[in-house]
Amino acid sequence: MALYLGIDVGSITTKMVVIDERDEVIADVYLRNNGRPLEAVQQGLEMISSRLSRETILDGVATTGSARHLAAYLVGSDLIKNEITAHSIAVIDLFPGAKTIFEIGGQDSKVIILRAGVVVDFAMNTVCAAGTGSFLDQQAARLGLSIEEFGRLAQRAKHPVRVAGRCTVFAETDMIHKQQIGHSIEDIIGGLCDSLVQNYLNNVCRGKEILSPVVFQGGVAANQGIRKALERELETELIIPEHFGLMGALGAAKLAKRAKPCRTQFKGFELSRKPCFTRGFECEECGNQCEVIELVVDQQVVAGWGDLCERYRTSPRPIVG
Amino acid sequence: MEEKGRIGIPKALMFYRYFPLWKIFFEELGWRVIVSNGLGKRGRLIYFEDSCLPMKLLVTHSMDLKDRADHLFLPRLVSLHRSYIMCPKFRGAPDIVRLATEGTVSILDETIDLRMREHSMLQSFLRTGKRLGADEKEGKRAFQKAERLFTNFQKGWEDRINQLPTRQFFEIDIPTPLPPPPSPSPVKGGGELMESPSFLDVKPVEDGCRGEKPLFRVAFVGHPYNLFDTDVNKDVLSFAKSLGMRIITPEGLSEKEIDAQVSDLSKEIYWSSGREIVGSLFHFLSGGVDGVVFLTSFKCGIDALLQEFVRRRLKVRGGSSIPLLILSLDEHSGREGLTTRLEAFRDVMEERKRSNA
Repeated sequence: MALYLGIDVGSITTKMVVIDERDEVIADVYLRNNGRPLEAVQQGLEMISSRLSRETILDGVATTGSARHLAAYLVGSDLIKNEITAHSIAVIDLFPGAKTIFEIGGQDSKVIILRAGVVVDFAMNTVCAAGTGSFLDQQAARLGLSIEEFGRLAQRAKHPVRVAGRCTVFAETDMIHKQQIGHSIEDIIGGLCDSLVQNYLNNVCRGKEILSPVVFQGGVAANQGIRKALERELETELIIPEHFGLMGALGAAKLAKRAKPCRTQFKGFELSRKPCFTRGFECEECGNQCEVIELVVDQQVVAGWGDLCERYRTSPRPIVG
Repeated sequence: MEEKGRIGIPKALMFYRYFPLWKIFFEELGWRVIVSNGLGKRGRLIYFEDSCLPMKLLVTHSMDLKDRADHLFLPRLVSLHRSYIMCPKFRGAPDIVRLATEGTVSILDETIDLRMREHSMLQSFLRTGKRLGADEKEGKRAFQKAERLFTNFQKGWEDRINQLPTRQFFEIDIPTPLPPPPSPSPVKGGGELMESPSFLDVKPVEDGCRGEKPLFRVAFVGHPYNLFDTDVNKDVLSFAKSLGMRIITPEGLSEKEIDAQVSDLSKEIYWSSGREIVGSLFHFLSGGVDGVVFLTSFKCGIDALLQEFVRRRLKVRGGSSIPLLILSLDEHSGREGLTTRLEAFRDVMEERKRSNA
C-alpha cells in the first residue's frame, strides 16, 4: 500500500498526516512549535514513525504552511505548496459541494471561495491578526482558562458585551475595562467571540460572496464560542470537518499523492535524531543585501536560500567554521 | 561636450515612467544625470511627515542625492492628462523635499499641467532648460530628441520587463529592441539537491517552469512606482516571472482603450492615475489575460477608494471570470505574505485554465 505524508508547519503548530491510496488517514500528529519549527518537525516525524509499522516506506512527501520551505529542505520534500491551495484540495474531495472555506489558524486567517469545486477567489488577513488562535490563546491564559473552557464559557454568555475587536491590543484593553466594571467572565468571552467574528467577516471576507455550504477549519474551529458566533452571524450551519485542525497537512498529503513522484526525496525518519539548526547572514557579494539562511543537518549544510542570485543553493557540503 | 554639472533625479514616483525622457533631455543639454541609490544598506526609510510610502521614499531618495547634485529635478506634476489631475501630494512634492532638505539644494520644479497650454510638457522643459542656461532652440532640440527616444523606449516595454531584472527596466543604455535573450540556463546546483524543490519553484514535479515559456499572461496594474520600485513591492515582478507569468502593464494601453472602459462610469474619476488604473483594470478583466494583479499602497487614499470602487463596479457588471488579486503594500509588508498569495493565485489561474480546457 502506497503511503503519502503531508506536513503543515504553521506559525504556532505543526501538523502531519499520512494517508494511503484511498485517502484514509493512517496516522496524524498535531503539536505546538513552541517557537522552534525545526525541532517541531523532527519531533513530529518521530511521533508519526512511532505510529506506523517499522518497515513503512513513504511514497511521497509534500509540505505546506508558512514554514513550508524550511520543512521541505529539512525532510526532503517532493512538493512545496502554499497553504491556500492545500486547504482547498483537502476540502474539495471531502465536500465537493462546498462554496466557502473559512480557515482560522494560529496567526493567519483566510477565506477561500469555491465554485463548482474550483477555487475562484481567496483572501488572507493583511495587517491584523486579531481573531486568530494565538490571540484567543493569550486571552484565555490571561483569564486563567484553558482554551476548551474558554469555548464552553462563551456559550453560556447571557448578554455578550461589546468588545472592540478591530485590534487585539484595544480588545484586551476593552476586556480588562469590562471586567473592572463588573461584567461576568461569560459575557466578556461571549462578547469577545462576537467581535472577533465581526472582525474576520469585515476584514478578511470583505467584498467576498459568502455562500453556504461553508466549511470551517483550522485550529480555531475547535472553539465552540467562535463557531457559534459565526453561525449566528451568517445564519447558516457550518460544516466542521473531522480533521479540522489537520486540513492543510491532509491537503498536502493528497497533493503528494497526486504528484506521484517516481522516487521520493524523503530523507527518512532517522532525521528526527540528527542534530540540525539554521543560521543566517547577510551576503555582501553585491548590493542586493540578501539575508541568506543555511540549514545545517548533521554537520552538513544541506540547503541555503534567501539569495536572489542562488549562489548558496548548492549541493550539500560540510559546514565551515 | 563639457559637463555642466550634475542633475540628481530621485528614484521615486514618476521616475518609474518618465526617467528615460528626463535623462536624455538633461544629457542633451550637457548635464550629467545621477540617480539615487536604493534604500541603502539597512533599508532605512526617512520618515518625514506622515505620508504614504511612495512619498517617504521620495524624501529618502532626495536626501541621498542632495549633497551630490547641483540641482534636483522634481517637476511639479499637477496633471499628466488633458483633463485629469494628479494626487495633490505630487503638486506638493518639490516643497516637501525643499522642507526636508532645509532649502540646501536647488530644485528644478517647473510645473507640468497638461490641462494648460503654457504648462505643457514642452513648455515646462523649455523653462527648466532656461533655468540651466539653455536657450529655447537648444531646449526644443533636446526635448524633441528625448521625446523621440522615449517613444522608442516605450515600444520595447513589454519585452524589457519580461526579460530584464527589475533593476534594469529603466536603464536606457540597454538598447530597444532588446538583444535576443540568452538561451535559458539550466537550474543551478547538482547532485541530490537539484532534484529537490528549489525555493522558488513551487512544484518541481510538474510545473517548475524556470527557463520554460511563461504559462500565464498576467496584467499587473497600479501606480508605476508601486509596480516597478522593488523597495515598495519586494520585487514581486521577478517572483511572478519565476512562477511562469508573463507580465503585462498598463503602459502598453492607449488612451482610447482606457477611455473605452471609463467613459460609462456614473462618476468621473478625476485623478489621472486613478483613471488609468480603473480603465486598465476593466480592460484586462474583460479578456486577453489569465489574471490581473492590482498593487496598492496601504496608505494611498486614491488606491483605497479605487479598490472599493472596482469591487462594486465588478459586482454590478456581474463579476469577471478572470481572477483578480489585490495586494496591499507598505513598508511593513514582508515578502512571505506576497509569495503565498501569488503562488495561490497562480494555482487559481491554473485551475481555471484546466477547467476551461
